[in-house]
Amino acid sequence: MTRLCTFALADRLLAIDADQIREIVTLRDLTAVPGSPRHVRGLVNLRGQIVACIDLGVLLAFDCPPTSKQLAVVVADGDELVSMAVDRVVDVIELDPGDIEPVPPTVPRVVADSSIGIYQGSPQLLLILDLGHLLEVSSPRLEVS
Amino acid sequence: MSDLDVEILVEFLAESRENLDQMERELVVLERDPRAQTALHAIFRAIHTIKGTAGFLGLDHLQHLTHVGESLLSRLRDGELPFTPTLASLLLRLVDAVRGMLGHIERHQAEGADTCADLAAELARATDDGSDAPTPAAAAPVVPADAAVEPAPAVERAPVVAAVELAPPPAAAAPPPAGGARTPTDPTIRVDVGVLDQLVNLAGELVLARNRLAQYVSTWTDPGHLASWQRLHQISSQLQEQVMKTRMQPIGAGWAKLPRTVRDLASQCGKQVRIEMEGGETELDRTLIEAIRDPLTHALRNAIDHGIESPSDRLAACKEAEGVIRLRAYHDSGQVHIEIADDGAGIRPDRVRAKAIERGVISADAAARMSDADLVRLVFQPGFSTAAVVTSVSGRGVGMDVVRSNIEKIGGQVDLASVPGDGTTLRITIPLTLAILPALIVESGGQRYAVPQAMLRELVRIDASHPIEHVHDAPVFRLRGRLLPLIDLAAAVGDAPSQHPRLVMVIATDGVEFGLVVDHYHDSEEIVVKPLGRHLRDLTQYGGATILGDGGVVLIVDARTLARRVNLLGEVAIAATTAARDHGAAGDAASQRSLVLVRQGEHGRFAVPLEDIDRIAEVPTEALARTGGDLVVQLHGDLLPVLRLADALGTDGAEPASLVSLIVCGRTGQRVGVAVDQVLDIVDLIPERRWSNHRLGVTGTVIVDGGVVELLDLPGLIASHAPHLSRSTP
Repeated sequence: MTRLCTFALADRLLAIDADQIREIVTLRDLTAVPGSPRHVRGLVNLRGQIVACIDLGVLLAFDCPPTSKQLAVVVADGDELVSMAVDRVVDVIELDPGDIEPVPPTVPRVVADSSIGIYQGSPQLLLILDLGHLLEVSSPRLEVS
Repeated sequence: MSDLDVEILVEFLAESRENLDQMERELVVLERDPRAQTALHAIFRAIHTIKGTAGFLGLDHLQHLTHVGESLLSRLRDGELPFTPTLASLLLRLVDAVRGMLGHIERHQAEGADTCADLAAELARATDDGSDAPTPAAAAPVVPADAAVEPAPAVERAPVVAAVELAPPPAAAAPPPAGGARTPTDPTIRVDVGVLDQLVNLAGELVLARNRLAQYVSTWTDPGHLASWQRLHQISSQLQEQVMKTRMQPIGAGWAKLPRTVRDLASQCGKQVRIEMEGGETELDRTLIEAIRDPLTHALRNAIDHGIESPSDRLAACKEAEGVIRLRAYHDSGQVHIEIADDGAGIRPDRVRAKAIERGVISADAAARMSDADLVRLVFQPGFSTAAVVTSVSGRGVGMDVVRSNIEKIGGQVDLASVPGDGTTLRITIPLTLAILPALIVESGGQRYAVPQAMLRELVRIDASHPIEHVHDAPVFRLRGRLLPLIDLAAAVGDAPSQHPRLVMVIATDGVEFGLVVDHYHDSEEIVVKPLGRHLRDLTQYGGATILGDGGVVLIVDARTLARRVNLLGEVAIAATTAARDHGAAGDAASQRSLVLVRQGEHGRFAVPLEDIDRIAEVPTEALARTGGDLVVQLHGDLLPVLRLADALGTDGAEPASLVSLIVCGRTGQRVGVAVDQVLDIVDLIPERRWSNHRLGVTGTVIVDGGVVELLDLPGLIASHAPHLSRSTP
């Protein structure tokens, strides 16, 4: 069984692996970073540690304005922490990996590449995100082609 | 190998390196004064200790080599052999060889093949015995620390378990046969640097947390609470102070190798030089000791190669044949000062002037107006070298500018004073520590930023009598007769330009002075520098971020990056700066490239790798002239062939502006200026995607600020569009 944390963002129901979530925080005093990529909302002070806040809606090119919500899930990115803004945390559920279906080919590439699959069992379709991939595409890559 | 064994090995490596450093130091002393018995004894003890422990750890090759060396030293000590410079060189080679072996042991946890048989044979020949000389280990009565040394021979003769495996733990419980004053009650211990760094961070955090609490204290009335607060305040301050001290080391720790370096360099240059050191006990942060090592060696190299004259010249100038370099360190007003003074020929301002004009560092007019002291400081300009000949030691054009940029990188400053005929003094000032940085908190475009104070010269208010003025749309500020280029802080970091500029921060770094325009300033604070993290690592305009007393995150502005942009726009040679920067930050530059963004035509943006560019200049369009089909321009007295990017790419026929920017490329053998409409910016980024393009001279594309920019290959462009200009020999 896989434990997933489901959350709402821009009228969509999304999920990431619950075991990778360190905490859920209310963002206060987000410091904008001029010159940064659009999907980086800014920096927050998390008990003395400076943590970047990612706007998943912008990163995944959802057709929605940048989120203004103050809630974020904090995940570990290697030895650093990264926070991702969400509208609302919904639930923690357990799923049989066999019930996760592949993403239909008509879903935009940027979303499909960042997803593990879709679960139909919940009232609203649940898109399960690939956290590792999200972290990789959201930070500048080091290798030169 | 068990953890304990590894620990013993690590301890042995660290201790042996200290011993080798000492040997090196004392050998140079001994070479100067062959009768210096204390030096000889110290050398003997050092090699003896290494030998003893090597035997104890079953490191056979190392034990053998040090044993042969020890035999030679024993004969020297007993006065059976005279100490000669040849022997000094031989023993220094022994030090190097042992150091090499230690390196191998550190990497592989074991000895490799014996590569020092030749050296051992040479040492044995020098010992000139043939007879069975008494093993020095058994006959060490002269050594004062004899008692501590005593156990060594016993351990040495104990059967070695396996050649490469370490001795079993029980034996390890015995104190290592150290030769120094190490006793069971030794008040020092070795601590992992990582642990210390963590402690420093945590202590910094504690102070920040306390400062946050301080905002509420004013509303407290309970005397008990207030007393506790007072106590917390004191203890956290003391804790931070003490923890900072743990990272402090005497600066002399990095000086141990200098006498050797000076000796080797001097003999390479055919000069006689000795170094006198003072203030080696001056303490500063250990990371800074590391950071100043290279600049210091560079400065010494310069002093020996360019400063000190040859023995015959010195005698002719009524000086001693042997030159002296005085190295002095001291604390003053919360900073560490280092002086490197030589008694050489000094720097002649007239020669610097001629060279600077020849190299195009400054114009003849500007040079004529400069004082002698300012002229001498020109040696800090990139690409400047007064050496008539390039030697293996220095004179390759990267010299003092590297020293300066390395020192400025750690928030320090350099200055130079010279008296022709009497010598040159280089003064370096650096902060005590890097972990905490004094910074000014300013506001620009509604956001707060921290600007490190080290490069800040002064603050000037903008008002009706001191307004912002414009030269060709470029904002400038008149400051006591000087024209200061201005940069808007908010705009420079990527925000919208500030609407209410009220304050000019005068910043001097990398040899340029410029004004950073901000709205107002809040406070000056001691800040703890924190990294920005993976997501923002491309943003070179920031040196990191910090958390202020109110808990807010504030970005730290990297004035050096901004200065680089000023430099570019201000028609200063940049090629050497790039070389120096690459030289300084070899590590992270591997994948990132600095690209110069240029505009050509209405919407065309192109990027040129900075390393392809010698310099950038702006000339009036009418200065371009045609001679025999070629476009040329007169630049600093030279005739420079010009290739118009618009012609080469066949882009547009737009009306040319009154000024064109020339990107000068020297990669094709002959310098060629490529004319573009405007130079926009320098960006550091990783070229993401490349594909072949049908247009010659375009190697791919990069994404800058969300837009597609074509990446130009200047040498290729010149070769394909003006082949006659690239044919000359490189």
